[in-house]
Amino acid sequence: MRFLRRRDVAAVALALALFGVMASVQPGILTATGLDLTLLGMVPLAFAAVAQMIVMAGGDIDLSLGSAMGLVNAICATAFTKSVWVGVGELVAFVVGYVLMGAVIEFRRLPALIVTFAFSFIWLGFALVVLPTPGGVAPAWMTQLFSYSIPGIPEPILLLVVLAAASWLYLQRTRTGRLIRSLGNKRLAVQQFAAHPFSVRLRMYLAAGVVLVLGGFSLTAESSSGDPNSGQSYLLLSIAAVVIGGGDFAGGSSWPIGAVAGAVALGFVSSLDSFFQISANLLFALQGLLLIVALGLRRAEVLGQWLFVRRRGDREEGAVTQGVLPGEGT
Amino acid sequence: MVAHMTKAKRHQILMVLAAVTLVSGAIAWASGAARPGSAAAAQSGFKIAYANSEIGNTFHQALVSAVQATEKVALKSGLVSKFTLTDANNSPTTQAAQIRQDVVAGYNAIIVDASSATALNGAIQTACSHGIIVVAVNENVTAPCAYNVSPHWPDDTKVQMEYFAQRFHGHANILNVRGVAGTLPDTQMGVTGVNDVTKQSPGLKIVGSVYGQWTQTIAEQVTSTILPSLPTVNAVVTQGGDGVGVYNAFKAAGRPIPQIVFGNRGDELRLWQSILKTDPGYDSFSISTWPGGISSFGIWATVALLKKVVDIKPSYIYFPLSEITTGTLAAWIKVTPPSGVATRSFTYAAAVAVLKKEPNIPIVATAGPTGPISGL
Repeated sequence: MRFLRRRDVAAVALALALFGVMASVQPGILTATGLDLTLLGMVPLAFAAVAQMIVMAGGDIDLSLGSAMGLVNAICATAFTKSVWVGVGELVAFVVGYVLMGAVIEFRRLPALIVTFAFSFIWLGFALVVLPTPGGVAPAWMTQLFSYSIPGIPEPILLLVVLAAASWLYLQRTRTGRLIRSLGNKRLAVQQFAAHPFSVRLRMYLAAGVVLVLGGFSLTAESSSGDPNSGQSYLLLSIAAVVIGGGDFAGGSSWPIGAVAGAVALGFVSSLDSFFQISANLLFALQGLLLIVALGLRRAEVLGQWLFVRRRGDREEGAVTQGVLPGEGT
Repeated sequence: MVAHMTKAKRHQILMVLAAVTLVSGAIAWASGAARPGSAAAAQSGFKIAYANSEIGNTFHQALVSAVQATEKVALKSGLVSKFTLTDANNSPTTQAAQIRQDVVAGYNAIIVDASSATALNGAIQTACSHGIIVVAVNENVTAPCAYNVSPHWPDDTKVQMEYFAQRFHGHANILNVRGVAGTLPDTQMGVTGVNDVTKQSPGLKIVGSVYGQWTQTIAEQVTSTILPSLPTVNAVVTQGGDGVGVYNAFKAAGRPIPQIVFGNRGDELRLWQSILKTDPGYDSFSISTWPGGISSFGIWATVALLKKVVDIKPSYIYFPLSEITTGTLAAWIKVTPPSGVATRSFTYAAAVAVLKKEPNIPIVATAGPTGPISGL
């Protein structure tokens, strides 16, 4: 039962539980089409959650995430109609700007909270320059990329699995990933790895920036158009997804599966009222309650012990367990 | 890290379990309490889903209460057998997910009050490809397969500017108070409608432009900020929800009060009435749209389209703007709470009558809270 002690169990359990509840009320979602439609909207949020998770693993927080996705969305809906190279150029410029934001944070050891908050207005400004009013058109190849499917398996599931796996690999099995987590946990350890914190911070924002670009692609494909303000709701949802999934504001740990599962769970919560006809005024209180429950369940390790360790004496003395160190996310 | 079961941890688990029970209970109670008229459901009626954007401001509160009132009438009449209202807290992500769920659940029509003119297009396209009629109310969407029921927003400000042109004989300094940047209604009112008239009457000078965001407090703040840099302002073109804020800003700055056009909000109408008491010659009017009118008209239009009573292809179905004059002011104040918006709703018969006249309906209608609507 060791897996119950993982900090991402709560997110996966919540996602599965909510899926079960929705399936029992609306069996229609158990079809391939139903699953596809249900999970489609969660893909951009999953990308946002992973990007936020990377930044939080390094001990920072990105308050500009919503505006950044809006900017990528605006670029995708406009630049690619002119030419692919204009689009690529603008996206590269965005990633460079995003890395620059990381440089500003590291160079002066400024609080990420404030710097990213300021940058959120810069991204929004650029987005409004590129696309002053909602409009534009998603390039056909982008829409097709995200609706490609293997028969029987809805594409969103594939995307979510690949995303979780890829981000897990990057953060747990590469040197850069380990350095990023160390940066969030113990800066000294980074120097012991013979790496410069500045370069690690830049690499961290580069990775997050690339994930945001992919997230922007999925958002553009899903909405088939552009809106500079369309990314705003992803900011707080991404933070919530990361925290539900086991992440920490203190940094040093990363739970990619948890972040993706948290995004899925939050996506289900948004659709709750379609099924239960809950009064709109009550709905948001319920969503908040669910978030608190999910956070409470994060300490499922304790619940697991309580359920499965039989003798009272064992429990009270404290059955020794091989704990999981903060830096290890596996 | 050694985990051990202390009393504190045990309490924590009990709290979590209590919370889960509470939440499940709350969901069960809330869904039981809010399920409307399913007992009266007729087998032959249509199933309609209403995807609302937000309920956090007075305009939308009025819209939603009209939806709920119209829903009761529709369910009782048997025209509609199932009606669901969802709210997205102004998040396009959430709203798109809710629309997709409505497709999965098999509704005949989806009415959308869009939180974004474009971000819902993917979900709307999906709905259309499943044969569902999609009607956008209040906020336009750019999806080509959707019907757009909306006032002709550019005319809201066009009427104001034309009035200024006439009153000031073509020469005036005008402050342009806009809404929320990047939204379609703001562009339609603050740019298209205004520029349509300044092109014809170049003597009307826009001396300043601020984003009041349809909120009195923000409008007051941004107006106060820009006022010191402005010459004499003769008139203010507004988008609604900002008149009181603009007036307060001018008053606080000690400037003469310009001609401000109001936006049918309860607080603005009362302010106008109090200005008239001290200055009976204050020449103004109020223009916006009836939130209850939009939603009730939208629902009845959807029913009419489902019943194929009218044959209209997806396009704009325009809805008159509503103007309040000094003549109808007192009557409107009586039925509009200070935090509300002047509104009245359509009946099915009245809505069908308007639909049959499309597209030749008047742009602006003047009416009291009851009685005939001029031009319709």
